[in-house]
Amino acid sequence: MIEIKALTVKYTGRKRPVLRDLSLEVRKGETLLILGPSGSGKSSLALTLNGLIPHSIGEVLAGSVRVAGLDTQQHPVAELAQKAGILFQDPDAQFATLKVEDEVAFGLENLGVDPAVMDARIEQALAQVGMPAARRRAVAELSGGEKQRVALAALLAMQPELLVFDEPTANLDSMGTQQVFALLAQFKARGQHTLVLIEHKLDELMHLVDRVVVLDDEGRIFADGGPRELFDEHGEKLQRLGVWMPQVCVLAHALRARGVHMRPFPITLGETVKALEPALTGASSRNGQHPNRSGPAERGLEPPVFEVRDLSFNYGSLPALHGAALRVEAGDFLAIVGPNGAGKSTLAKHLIGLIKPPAGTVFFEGRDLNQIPPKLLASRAAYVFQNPEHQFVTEKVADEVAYGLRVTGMAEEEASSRSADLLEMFGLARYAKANPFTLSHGEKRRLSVAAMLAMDQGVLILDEPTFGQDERNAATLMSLLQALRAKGKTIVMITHDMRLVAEYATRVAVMLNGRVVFHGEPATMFAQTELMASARLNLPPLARLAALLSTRRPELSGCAKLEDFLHLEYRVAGRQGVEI
Amino acid sequence: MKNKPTAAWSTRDLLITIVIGLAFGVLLVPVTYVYGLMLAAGILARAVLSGVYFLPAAFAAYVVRKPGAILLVSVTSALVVLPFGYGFIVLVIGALTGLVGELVTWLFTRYVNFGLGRFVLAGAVGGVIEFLLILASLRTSQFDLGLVTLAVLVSALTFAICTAVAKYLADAVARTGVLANTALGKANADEI
Amino acid sequence: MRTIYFEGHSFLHRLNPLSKFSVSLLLFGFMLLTTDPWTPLAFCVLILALMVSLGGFSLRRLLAVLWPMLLFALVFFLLYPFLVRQSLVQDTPLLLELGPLRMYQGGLAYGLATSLRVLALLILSLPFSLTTDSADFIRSLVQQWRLPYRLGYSTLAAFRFVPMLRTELSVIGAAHRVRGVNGAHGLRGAAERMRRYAVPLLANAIRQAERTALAMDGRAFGASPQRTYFQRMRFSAADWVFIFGMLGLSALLLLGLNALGLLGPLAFLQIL
Ligand SMILES: Nc1ncnc2c1ncn2[C@@H]1O[C@H](COP(=O)(O)OP(=O)(O)OP(=O)(O)O)[C@@H](O)[C@H]1O
Ligand SMILES: Nc1ncnc2c1ncn2[C@@H]1O[C@H](COP(=O)(O)OP(=O)(O)OP(=O)(O)O)[C@@H](O)[C@H]1O
Ligand SMILES: [Mg+2]
Ligand SMILES: [Mg+2]
Repeated sequence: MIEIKALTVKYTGRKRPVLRDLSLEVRKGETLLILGPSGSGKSSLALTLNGLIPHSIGEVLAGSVRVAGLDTQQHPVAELAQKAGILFQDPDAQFATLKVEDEVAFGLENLGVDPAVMDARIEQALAQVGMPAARRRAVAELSGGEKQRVALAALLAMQPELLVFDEPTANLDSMGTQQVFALLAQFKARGQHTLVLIEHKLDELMHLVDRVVVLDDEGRIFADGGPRELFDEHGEKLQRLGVWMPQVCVLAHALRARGVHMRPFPITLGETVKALEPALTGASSRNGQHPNRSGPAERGLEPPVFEVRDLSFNYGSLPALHGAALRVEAGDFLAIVGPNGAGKSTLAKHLIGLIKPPAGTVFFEGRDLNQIPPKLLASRAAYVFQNPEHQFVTEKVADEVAYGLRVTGMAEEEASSRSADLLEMFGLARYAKANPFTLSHGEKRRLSVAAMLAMDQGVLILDEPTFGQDERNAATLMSLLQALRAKGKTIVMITHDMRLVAEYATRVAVMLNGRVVFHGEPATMFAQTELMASARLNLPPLARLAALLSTRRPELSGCAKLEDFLHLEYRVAGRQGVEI
Repeated sequence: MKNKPTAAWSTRDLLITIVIGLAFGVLLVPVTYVYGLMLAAGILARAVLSGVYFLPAAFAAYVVRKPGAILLVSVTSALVVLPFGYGFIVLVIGALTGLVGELVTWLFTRYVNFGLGRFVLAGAVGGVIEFLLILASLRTSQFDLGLVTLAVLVSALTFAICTAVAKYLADAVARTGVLANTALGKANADEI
Repeated sequence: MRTIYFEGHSFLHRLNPLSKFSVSLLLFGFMLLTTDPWTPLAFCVLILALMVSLGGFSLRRLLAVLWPMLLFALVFFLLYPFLVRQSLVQDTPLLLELGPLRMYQGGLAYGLATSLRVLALLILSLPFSLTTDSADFIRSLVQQWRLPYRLGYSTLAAFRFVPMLRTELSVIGAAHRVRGVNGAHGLRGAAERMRRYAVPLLANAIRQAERTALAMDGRAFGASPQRTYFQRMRFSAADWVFIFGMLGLSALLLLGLNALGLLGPLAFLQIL
């Protein structure tokens, strides 16, 4: 289906090629997963498959790409579009028209298909993605997951044999992600298409993948093979490269380091359960203590950092908050979760006075927020917006950090030395002179946090800081936040990523319909299946594993961290660990 | 790589150009709050305003460097920016600004040479032409000559300033790297 | 187009967008020439009657759309008499004197005529803009008036960004506020402030535009000079009836006004 020979690709304006000497063959019907660190060229590789490279962007310096027998350099995109379709990451950036049926018809019209047969093809394509009733709906009013499904239908109408998915769930909440994954599974089961996936949320789709190709930072193929062998053999190297593996594979490697070998090497949840269950059955559970329960925190001595009492708010006539209440204690790492539109951002905006709360509803360190001058509040609490670029106000990275200091009237020298320190801490020192907009996603994010923290505020509020970011960037940011928390800062973070909640948060608040419906420890939340379902939250992979294994080991109930599994005792036969 | 202006429009060129118009339209909306009052306040205010509405045109001229881009940007930004944007007045005003922009850009830069002096001069001349056209559409006999002359000068000055500001903004946007695929990006292409 | 489109299935809704567009544009052009207050007033009434009878709009709904225009016209009416050149109206009776400001009857008449004309110019576009789906308009521009389809559909795709751009601008404002951005003064300050808002807004919009362009190219957009259309826009008998009906009615209206001696002289192009 795909035949790539010694391909080297470069973008205009770039010295270094994005893809180098890359060769790859994919058989018809195969499902290929492409992994690689951010900027390794995964998306670029996708663009070569339907001829957008070189016809619309970039240039092919050497080599060739054949898709379904067509040389992509010789054949126009119109012809290739009927062989290969790409579903992109941003659901909003791939529509050309305003209505669902027009959108699906768009490709057919471009191909010059006879209007008489279009109707049937539109019908069929929408049925294939499970949205037969949506024909006359406006694209703008669809949810993220529905948008991706319609975008896929628009590709399917052109009847491609190869479907490429370039991080289709990166901008979706958990429900949208589930919709897209379910669709992927259907397509795999139907077996009519060759699928190429670029994804970060691996645990949910490992059972679909036949083969994995890993790109390195230089745009070369680093590894290529079946998922099991690849994650088994190259696990460490992949982690060093910054490529993410399914969490169960990470777990398997961590256990292996402790002498517990699972055979066969598991790549799905089911396989892991099967492998671990027998090893857990016989073994005694160590002092029966919950591995992840820190002792009760000392509370109540100081006033809480934030206290929200019975806060309601409407945008015009549209209610966004409805009697929300919340306490944030000093030193918390609080995650606020909940479905789209639950009111998370609106609540956070009240905390920092971006929306002025009515008197008696929001308190900061015991004082009514209304009575705190904005300048004072800004020097105590920082707010980081979702898109880092929105907060940039200067043209140099160093100035960006120093800006917040200069507006407070700090002496020039002190400001620049302090900003240099911050850049060092956030790993940005070598970009001091660069334009903030030219940084990579992860660097931009870190810069925006560094810039906000210039005044050394004690509280940091972040609205979906990892949205659209890859896992490596997310992890770097999270460890930074943890370091800040260790220094005594309080962190409030809105997020959709349950894995981050599991690994990093000490407290979690669940919002639903403008209310805080749960506030407590993540483990408690994970253990409440009904709550999770009603707030449309998904358990992260390891939490699901823990839930499945908790019949054998009750102390695993609610666990979600890697560590939790490492502290367990496994039934070990033989001296140097077992194969289980 | 030496840049030659090409007349061919790719989908990307089209979308970028239109979006520039839309973004400026949204940016300039606050300006229009004063619009209604200023309109009544006489021709001097009008001279200043039409200069501000020339910003997107000058930006597009400098960035896209293709015949037609200025007209397209002016019309799209007018549709977004003007109050009652669904009326026809906006089309007329947008098209007028666009056509004047195309004319002076062609005259002074040939869509290739965008040195500051040359470009700003083009803007100033555009200001004079556009204002004379607007005057022709008003009952000029109502105003005395001194005021009209002053207004023409003001118009030339604001157009010149806005052209310079547009260039300043475009260079700032270019430094972010997003204009790499436009004529401006290619013109100062040092590969990174 | 900025859409204030109200979905519906009335006679007006079903017409070809171009017939509504042409009629509105013609009347608009004519309205630019009028100088008396009665002609615009008559046309305002005609158009509103058309919207109610053939467009299925209730007066209430129309009023909801109209009030900003009415307000605009009112402000215009109140200010104009003070701004018109005094020598033109000096010999008419003085109505009001507020310090240096004088309102003459002649000035009031000018104000009335001008504000009604402005109102009419705005109202004239309503039959088109309230009943036309912008996608249909572009479609018929492309299919009937031979607008290059790549231009038409690119415009349609790009206009979807407008709401996003609006929200983004307000988010940028808030984001700068929490950073304690303070406004510098003077021309440099203004340019600087403009840059702070414009750069993130444009950078994001342009990136998004590039992505959309790739997605469209990936679906064979612009691949061939010809394309087919799922929805064909047509000119039907109803369109001709509408066009000639409106022109006929307008002619009758003008004749009537003339007979009553209310039609003033026509003057070349006085936009406002
Ligand atoms: N249109 C473009 N013009 C110039 N350079 C580009 C363009 N698109 C991507 N690049 C550069 O090419 C490199 C590879 O980008 P690509 O998007 O293919 O990576 P990726 O593996 O998909 O990364 P991510 O995981 O962040 O999506 C990056 O350095 C990127 O900055
Ligand atoms: N500026 C606004 N104007 C009008 N309505 C708004 C505005 N911002 C948010 N809303 C609405 O208020 C409700 C709550 O929005 P909010 O942004 O707080 O939700 P959220 O939980 O942050 O959702 P998400 O996960 O999508 O970010 C939603 O229904 C949303 O559509
Ligand atoms: Mg990518
Ligand atoms: Mg939000």
